[in-house]
Amino acid sequence: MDIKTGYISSVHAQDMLHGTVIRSPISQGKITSYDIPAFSPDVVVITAQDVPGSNSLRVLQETMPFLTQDSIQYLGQPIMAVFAPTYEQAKVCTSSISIQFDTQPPEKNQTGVFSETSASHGDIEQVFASADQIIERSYTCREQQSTFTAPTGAFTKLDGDKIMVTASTQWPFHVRGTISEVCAVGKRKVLVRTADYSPNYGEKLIYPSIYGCLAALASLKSGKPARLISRFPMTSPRITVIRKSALNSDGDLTGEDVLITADIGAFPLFADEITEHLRGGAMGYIPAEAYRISVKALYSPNPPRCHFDGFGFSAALFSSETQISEICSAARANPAQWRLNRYGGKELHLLNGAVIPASPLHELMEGVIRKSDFHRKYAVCRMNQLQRNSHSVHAGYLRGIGIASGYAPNGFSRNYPWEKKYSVSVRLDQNNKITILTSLCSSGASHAWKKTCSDVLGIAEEHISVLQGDTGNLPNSGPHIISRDIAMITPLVRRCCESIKKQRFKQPLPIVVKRGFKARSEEAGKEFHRYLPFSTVAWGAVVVELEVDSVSLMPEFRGIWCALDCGKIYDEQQLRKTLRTKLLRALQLTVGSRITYDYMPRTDIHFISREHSMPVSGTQVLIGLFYSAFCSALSQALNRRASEIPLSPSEILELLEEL
Amino acid sequence: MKIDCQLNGKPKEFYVSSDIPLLQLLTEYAHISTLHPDCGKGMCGNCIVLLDDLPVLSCLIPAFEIRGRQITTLERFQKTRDYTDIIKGFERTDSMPCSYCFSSKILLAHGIISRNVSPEPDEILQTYSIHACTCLDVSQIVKAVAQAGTYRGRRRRYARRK
Repeated sequence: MDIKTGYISSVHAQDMLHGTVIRSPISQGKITSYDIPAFSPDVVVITAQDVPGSNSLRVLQETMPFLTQDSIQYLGQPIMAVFAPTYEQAKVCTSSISIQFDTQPPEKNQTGVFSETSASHGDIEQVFASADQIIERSYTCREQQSTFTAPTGAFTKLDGDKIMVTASTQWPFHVRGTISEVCAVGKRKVLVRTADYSPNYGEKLIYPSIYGCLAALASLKSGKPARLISRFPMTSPRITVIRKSALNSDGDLTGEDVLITADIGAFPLFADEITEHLRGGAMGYIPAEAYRISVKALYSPNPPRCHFDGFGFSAALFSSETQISEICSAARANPAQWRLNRYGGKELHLLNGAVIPASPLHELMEGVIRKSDFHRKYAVCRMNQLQRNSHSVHAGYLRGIGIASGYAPNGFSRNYPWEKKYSVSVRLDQNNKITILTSLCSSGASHAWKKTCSDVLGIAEEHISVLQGDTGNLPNSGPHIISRDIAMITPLVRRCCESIKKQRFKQPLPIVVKRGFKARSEEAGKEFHRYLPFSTVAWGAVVVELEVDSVSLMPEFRGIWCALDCGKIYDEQQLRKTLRTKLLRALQLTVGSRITYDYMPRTDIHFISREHSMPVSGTQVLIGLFYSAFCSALSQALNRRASEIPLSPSEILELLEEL
Repeated sequence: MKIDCQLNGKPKEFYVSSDIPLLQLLTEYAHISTLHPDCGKGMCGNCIVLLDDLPVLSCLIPAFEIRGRQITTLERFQKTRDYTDIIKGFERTDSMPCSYCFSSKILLAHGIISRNVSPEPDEILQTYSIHACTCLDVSQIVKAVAQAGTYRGRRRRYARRK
């Protein structure tokens, strides 16, 4: 392709058409009629009738409609697209199209559960019946919008019988497959190149495929290049966790009953994966005589949800850790000491009885406790909390400190059949030139891949490159989500290099080695009672100290201390930068507003490096633990129970006004 | 409506609706590729350009306001010595912004050190508070701009002595 890849907003071509999408303003109903006026010949309108192939998108095993013809299933559902020589003209044409809707719900109203999973052990009813104390709390991660990301969109142009696509996508092969099916052209005739997308945020899994199809249809209809950029809000699922803990007279956990529901929108995209992640995150690290975890992914007439913070593991982890802090609070125990006593040494027992022989949790906890001076600050804040008049809103000194620790996984929860087709290649050329070929575009992980090659083959890093290509010359490495780039691709790169090492000096150059994903143990996925349900995890501990401004009610962070075990660390500075950005993003989502440079807190991140392990991403664990430590600190500062994310000053005021 | 201005040092004429934002004029009509705006409402801070050498959010400036004025984007600015001061400052402190916000962060730094080559941390942070990308830490941004200011001051003194 002759187009220099940059952000999608930077891609231009001669005679390019600019597109806008007309979306449904109602969440359920029917289109009764629409009126498209006669536009000038250089305006292209794409409706469902213009789709030559399948009018649907396949996402792994599930499908969702592409352009609707009559039935509206969610708010903002694409109905048609208008392309014109300028964006302004496209907007004017869009406003002159009238669509009539019947807002009655469709006859076949879709409701209910898309996916559910559960796990249980022991007699939960008996344990609760004999409990000395029961603590029941509800935790909610409300819908959060991913704001201020790099633009989402796609650019297409025709080159002979080929469709050349540049899309800001985390999954270029999905864009290719979808365009191929919707436009009824062979997959080899669609070449997709990834445009830059903001690596720090980015939820660009499904929508770029929709925009790519619309732009491709416009190019096919007009013969001109077309670009469509959309600012349709991307929203995460609403996750509610109800946790009931049974405690004995010593304050030890004897039973745990957890019910989790997630609103995942109108279509069950990634529903099974979401339920698995939620179940894993809800598990906790304190073994109990009996437990029951039920997880449901529910339908709602909302747009398909985005997963910019993973598949919900952080939300479930937030509930597990905040519940522990609640238990400690009820027992008037120091939450850090309580955890350290329960975790014991290196051996960690999970709620389901699984034993992790070498957990770094104790070491991480001790690290953040020491750095933050947790015990002293906790004692002072606790004393202040107990002495405060519970009816006073303006107590003047609203300070608290919270701690959380745990793990979070990288990659999918189990081995799916479709994952076997994903692969990575490494090529050794003359003059010791190494090229890594993968469809995952990741500036952060590429350094780890190069270092891995360098370690195995003893070739200097400057001779190693990651090929910037398109779907025509890169292998399909799957979607770039849940840190697959670092946790899944790096081991494959290593396997490729080890194979090259064996063939080197024996086989003629170039030597090309391709490695795919191996089937993971089926047992690990199925037998929840015996195993840690994920194969690659990162561990962490976080302390948050804050003070609520007694006038603006905005939490002012006095410090955030994090300790993480992310396996082998290749570039500590880069990793620190990435995690700090993720932490600030989590902070932004937590307080429900934009974080500016004059508000940014001091963050202290330190790592445990393990030389003989593979690198893992600490993003998810950091987010989940931050949510929990924040809520614990806020609860202590306000002397009220904070159990929702996000919490804006107006919601903090509501909490304070509760009697 | 005809709008003439100086864009990146060259006289330009645009025939556009008078009320479109400068951002749209720059990206769609002038094909400026260093701007990566997201919000279009002055919230993301990613559409900063220099208007008569002052950094402004181009999504909030109507096209008619640029008549007869000078607009500079990173395309032109990176060919100047002022840019070299800033980039050296960011490099020296190991604080390079990400590619998404690079243009805006550099132009904001220029705005600060053009006024004052020894800015106070508060002034730096207040100026950068219009930017939503948090790829750099508070300390990084303060050090980088202060260092850029040092280079700018040194160059000015040297030019005066000559």
